[in-house]
Amino acid sequence: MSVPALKKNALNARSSAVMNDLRVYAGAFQAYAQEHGDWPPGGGAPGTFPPGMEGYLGTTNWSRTTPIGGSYQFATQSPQAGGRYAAVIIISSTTDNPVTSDANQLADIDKKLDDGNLSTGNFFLGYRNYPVFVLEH
Amino acid sequence: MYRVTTSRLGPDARRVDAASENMDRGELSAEDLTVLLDAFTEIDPADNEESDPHVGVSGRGAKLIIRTSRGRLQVYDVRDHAAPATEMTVPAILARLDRIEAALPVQGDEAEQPPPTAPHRGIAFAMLTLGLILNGYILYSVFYVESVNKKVEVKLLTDADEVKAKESALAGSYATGAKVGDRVIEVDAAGQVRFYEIGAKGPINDSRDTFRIGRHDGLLCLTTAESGVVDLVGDTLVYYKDVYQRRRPLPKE
Repeated sequence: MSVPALKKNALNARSSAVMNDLRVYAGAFQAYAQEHGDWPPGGGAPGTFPPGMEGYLGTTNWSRTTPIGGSYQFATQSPQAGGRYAAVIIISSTTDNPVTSDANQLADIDKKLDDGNLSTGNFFLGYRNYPVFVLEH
Repeated sequence: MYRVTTSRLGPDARRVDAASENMDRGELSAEDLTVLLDAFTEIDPADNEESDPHVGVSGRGAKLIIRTSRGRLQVYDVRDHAAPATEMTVPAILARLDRIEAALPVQGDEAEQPPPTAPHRGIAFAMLTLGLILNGYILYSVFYVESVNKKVEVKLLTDADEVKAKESALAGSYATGAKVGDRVIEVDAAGQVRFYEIGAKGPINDSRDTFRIGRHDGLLCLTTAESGVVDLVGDTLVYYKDVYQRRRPLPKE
């Protein structure tokens, strides 16, 4: 197998892993919202469980480094790319753990998960070009 | 000394022994090898035809297979299977076994070849160039990463007085709001900038950087070492499309 093909396979695998993570987390946050009538509180640091979410996210990869670097962060009323979003999951860089800036990787995730455009839809680039996945607009 | 093996030959090498498929006779001197080869030439022609007996000899300069026909020795070079047999005398065989140059027929062949003509060199050069370009493309495609963080061409302000005046005017705290989740940019007059998010228990995603003042696309901006470009639009800052309003007085986060 050629090196470019290996690189493409690795890119696909990372995209699929992120997509799978985000779907699992979206389900967990929606379950919380249904049971409690609102989203959990935001304002937590990347990689930390939002208050009340340990039971929903405890068995997931939430607190680990994401497949594309950085850490998952939940935020409410979050200003992103000129808009404000009620609830989002952000993949944020942390000290010594940057999220990828690889345009091909991020576009591939968007293509698999959303509309393929990193400026629009429910998956886009927000603050510092960190990937943002919208749970509620 | 020569390493000698015989195939289908009796002990004295004068008769065929079909049962003796291969016999290692060890290291023989030139005299012993001469005796053996002389005896080999006396082998019965009918037996010789039927059993194909032969002698294998390795010397410093060659490895030969020797057969006999009508009392003469036919020599084959093990390293050149395609070459026909050469009829040789025993002294010539010994000389061939000892001659180092003869052991390197490839070099000899190369030396005899005419130098490459211009078309050959051209084709070789074209193939080499094509290979290098292909390898270069593969390496480029593997290691090149197109970043989403596009570099903005900023023309820095050079007038010291103007820079100082702008830094003083810019100094302050700017925010997208005052609630949890909002973000703050604090600019000081000494060229330092701080970015953070208002968290539930205090600032999160807190980072500091240095900045210089410049312009791009007609906009005044702060260009930072690590954090990209912050535009100044009126009395607000615009960073990754989010608008940061100036806060007064400077709060303590």
